Amino acid sequence: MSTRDKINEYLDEGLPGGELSETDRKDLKGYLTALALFRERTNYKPSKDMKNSVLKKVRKANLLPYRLGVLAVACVLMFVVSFDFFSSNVIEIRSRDISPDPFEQLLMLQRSSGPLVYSFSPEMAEGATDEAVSPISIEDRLLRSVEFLRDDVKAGADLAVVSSTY
Amino acid sequence: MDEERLVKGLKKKQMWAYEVLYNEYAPRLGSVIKSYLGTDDVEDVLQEAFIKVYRNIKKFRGDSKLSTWLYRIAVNICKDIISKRAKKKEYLTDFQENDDYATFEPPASTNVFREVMDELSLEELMNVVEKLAEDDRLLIRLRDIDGMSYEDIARIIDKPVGTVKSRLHYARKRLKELLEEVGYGEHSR
Repeated sequence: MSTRDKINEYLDEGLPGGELSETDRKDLKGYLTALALFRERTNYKPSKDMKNSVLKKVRKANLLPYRLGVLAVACVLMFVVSFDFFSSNVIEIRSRDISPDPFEQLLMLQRSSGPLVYSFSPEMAEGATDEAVSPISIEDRLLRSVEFLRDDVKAGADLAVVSSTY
Repeated sequence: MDEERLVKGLKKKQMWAYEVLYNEYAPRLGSVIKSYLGTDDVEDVLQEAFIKVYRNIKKFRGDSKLSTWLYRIAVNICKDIISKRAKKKEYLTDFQENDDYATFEPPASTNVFREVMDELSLEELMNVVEKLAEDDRLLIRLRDIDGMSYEDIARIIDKPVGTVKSRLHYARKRLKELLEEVGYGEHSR
C-alpha cells in the first residue's frame, strides 16, 4: 500500500497509529495541520444582524398570503362601492317636446327656479339684498336672458332643458 | 431538538422552528459556503438558502437527514454562483488576467492558528488553500473537517459514492502536493 493510500485509509477508517511509518506520520501531521488551518480560516460565525435579517425575510414571506388576501378584499370592496356610486348617479339628458308654446314654458321654468336666479343676479354680486331687488325687474331680465331663443323657437327648433339639483 | 418535530414546525411555517433551524445550522452551513466560495457572498447564500428552505420544505419527504437536505440547497446555490463566476471570468479574460475570486479573510487568532503559524507563514498557507479547486475544498470540508459520511456527501453533491471517494482522494493528494510545494511535506521535514 502506498503512502498516500495509507493516509487516505487512516483518514477514512482510522488505522492504528502504530501501523504508520515515521514518514507517513510526518505526512499525516502536515495534512492535519493544514486541515486545522483550513477549518480556522473558513470558520463562520453569523452575526445577530444576519439572524434578524433572515428571520425578518421568513416572517415577511409568512405574512405574504395574508397581505395578498387583504389586498384582494380591499379591491373587491372598492369595485363594489365604485359600481354602486356610478350606477346610482347618472345624469339623464332627454329631449322634450315643449310645444304648443315652448317659449312660455321655458320662461315658466326659468321663473320657477327663482332663488337660483337671484343668487346670480348682478345686484346680489354688488352687495344688494333680496328685498332691494324688484320681482318685475327680475322678470324683465329673465325675459331678456331667453330673448335670443324666441326666433329659434318660432322657426320650429327643438329645445332641450337640463334640470339638475346641483 | 427532535428533527421530526423541527420539520413539522418548519412545514407549518412556525417562526420558532426557523429560529431553531438558524441557530443550529447557520454556522455550519456558513462555514461550508465559505469553504466552497471564499468570503464572497456567504451571507447572501445563507439568506437565499433559508428562504429556499421556507419555500420548499413541503417537498422534504425525510428520505435523507434534514442537514443533508440543507447542505444540498446551499451547495446548489454555490454551484450557480461559481458557474456565473466562470462565465464572467471567461468574458473578462481579454481584459483582466489572474482574476482570483476566492479571497479568504485573515484567520482568527486562536491557539490552533498560533500553533500552525509557528510552522508556516500566513502567506504560504493562504496560497495553499486558495490554490485548491472549489470542489476540492468542498469535499475536504465535508469529509475531513465536518466528518460527514460518503453517502451524505454523495447526496449533497448529487454524485455516486465511488465518484466522491475518488474525487476526495485526488483533493487530498492535491492539498498534500501544495503543502510540499511550500516546504511542508515529507521530503522537506
